[in-house]
Amino acid sequence: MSDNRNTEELQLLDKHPDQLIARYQSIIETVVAGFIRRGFFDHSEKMDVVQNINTVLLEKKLSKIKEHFNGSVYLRTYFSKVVYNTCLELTRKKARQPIITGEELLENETAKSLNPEEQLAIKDELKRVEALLKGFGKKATKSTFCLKLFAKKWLDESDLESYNQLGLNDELAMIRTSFFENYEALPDKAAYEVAVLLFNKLEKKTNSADSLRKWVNAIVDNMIYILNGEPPVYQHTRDTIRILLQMYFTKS
Amino acid sequence: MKAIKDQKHLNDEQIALYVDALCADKTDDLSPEILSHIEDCKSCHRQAIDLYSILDDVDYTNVGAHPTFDKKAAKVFSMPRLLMRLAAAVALLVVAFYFFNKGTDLDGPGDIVKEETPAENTDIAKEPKNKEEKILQKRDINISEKEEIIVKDAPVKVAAPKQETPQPKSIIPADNQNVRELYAANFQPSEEWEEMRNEAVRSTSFEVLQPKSATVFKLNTKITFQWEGANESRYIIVMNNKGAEVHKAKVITNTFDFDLKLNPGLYYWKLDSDDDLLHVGSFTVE
Repeated sequence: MSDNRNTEELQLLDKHPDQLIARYQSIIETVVAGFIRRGFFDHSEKMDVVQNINTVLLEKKLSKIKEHFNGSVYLRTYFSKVVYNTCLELTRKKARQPIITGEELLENETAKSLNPEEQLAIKDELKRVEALLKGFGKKATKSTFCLKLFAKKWLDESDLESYNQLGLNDELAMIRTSFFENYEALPDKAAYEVAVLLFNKLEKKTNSADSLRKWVNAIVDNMIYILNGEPPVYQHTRDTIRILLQMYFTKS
Repeated sequence: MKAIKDQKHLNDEQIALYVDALCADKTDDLSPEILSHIEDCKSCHRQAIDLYSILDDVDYTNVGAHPTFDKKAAKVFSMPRLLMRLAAAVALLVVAFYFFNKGTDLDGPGDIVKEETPAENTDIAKEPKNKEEKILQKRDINISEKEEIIVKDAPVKVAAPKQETPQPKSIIPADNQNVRELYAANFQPSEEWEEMRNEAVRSTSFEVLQPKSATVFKLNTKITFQWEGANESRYIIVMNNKGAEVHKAKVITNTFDFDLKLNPGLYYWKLDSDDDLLHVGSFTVE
């Protein structure tokens, strides 16, 4: 096998699209499995759905891929997106009953009483949370720091790496005292009052703790909106996001 | 091809590019247009994070260099050696120049948020414009003395003293004076609190019955705060336009009568608990 599968696959797309479909069967199955995990399809339907997608690809979408793909990404990512769209189209055609990931499921996870499907659903949710956090880009350091406070996750020196060497010794000392051990009982407001001192010094601002709290809540509400879907498929609340973040930070 | 800003949504390849960037931790290499669209468009953002979670199970071994992200790096490394050295020398010069000018005043990491600094009392912070004002500021005068002087020198706009601490004592200005002009600094809205004002910070069926937003009260009027949808005990906090706390009280009912005498000015109030900020409103006293 070549050490550059992407080039190989582009050639297949150009000359032997049917072979490309054959090679990408595992990708189609993976995408369909993702939809099954979320309850859009039943397990028993898996191969039918895969077959449906193959038909749609061969009859319609493969020629469109050839026409529209500009080669700026891996072909398999682009192909996955096309399969994802096709799955969405299929789900729209049928009445769907997706799994509702809510507080109960997440609380059970902490009790380790989940079946494999539920575990996969949570793994899925954690990956989606990871994507949201990675997408913060330049705001990532501050956002992650604040979301840890929101989740009441203990901090450690790695969380302060970006702030060392910036002459913030007093503020960092307060952070260490307040958040390096269990602060579950510390009211959110008190936590933000400590954190805002750090960010105000850093950003040369005089914002209030409420302002920081509002900023964090807006991030969380945005996460809820995106994760729940439109129309909502999930039932995330601030509480479930808190649990998800606790899990994510613990596992990462 | 349409520019991203003219598109309603990102196309499949642009979403795939965002996802590849997430997988490779290279979101910084994405065009600002894609990043800004993802930030604003929840539908595209949702599709991207869905795809990201699904791709976790897709095999990406031996796929080779990334067509977009690795191309940039490859370009840099394929530069002739002399050119590379030249570029390095220029970069060094730029860095040296930067530090020479900037000294050791380093900023923090680049994750500064769009939070606004509360409005400053600029009238007071500014250097005095003329001798007369200078004298006024230097002198340790009380407010009524100051009012008299202002009346005499009407064209010279002098702000009321900065309210660092609560000032429960009401000062009633002399007749025919324009209260807003006298206390101009007290009426200057705080950007930070304006932004928070009237937002149902927590999504509940909470509703403020009174005072309605931006109600104007006459001096020494009793103000009744009333709301519904929040039955647990809370704190009601009244702040001046600089965000300084003027009054704080614990409330266990849905109503609160406030009859502390306030100076003319813009005030913000919030309903708060240790764990939640329920509402921010404002009112004016003049």
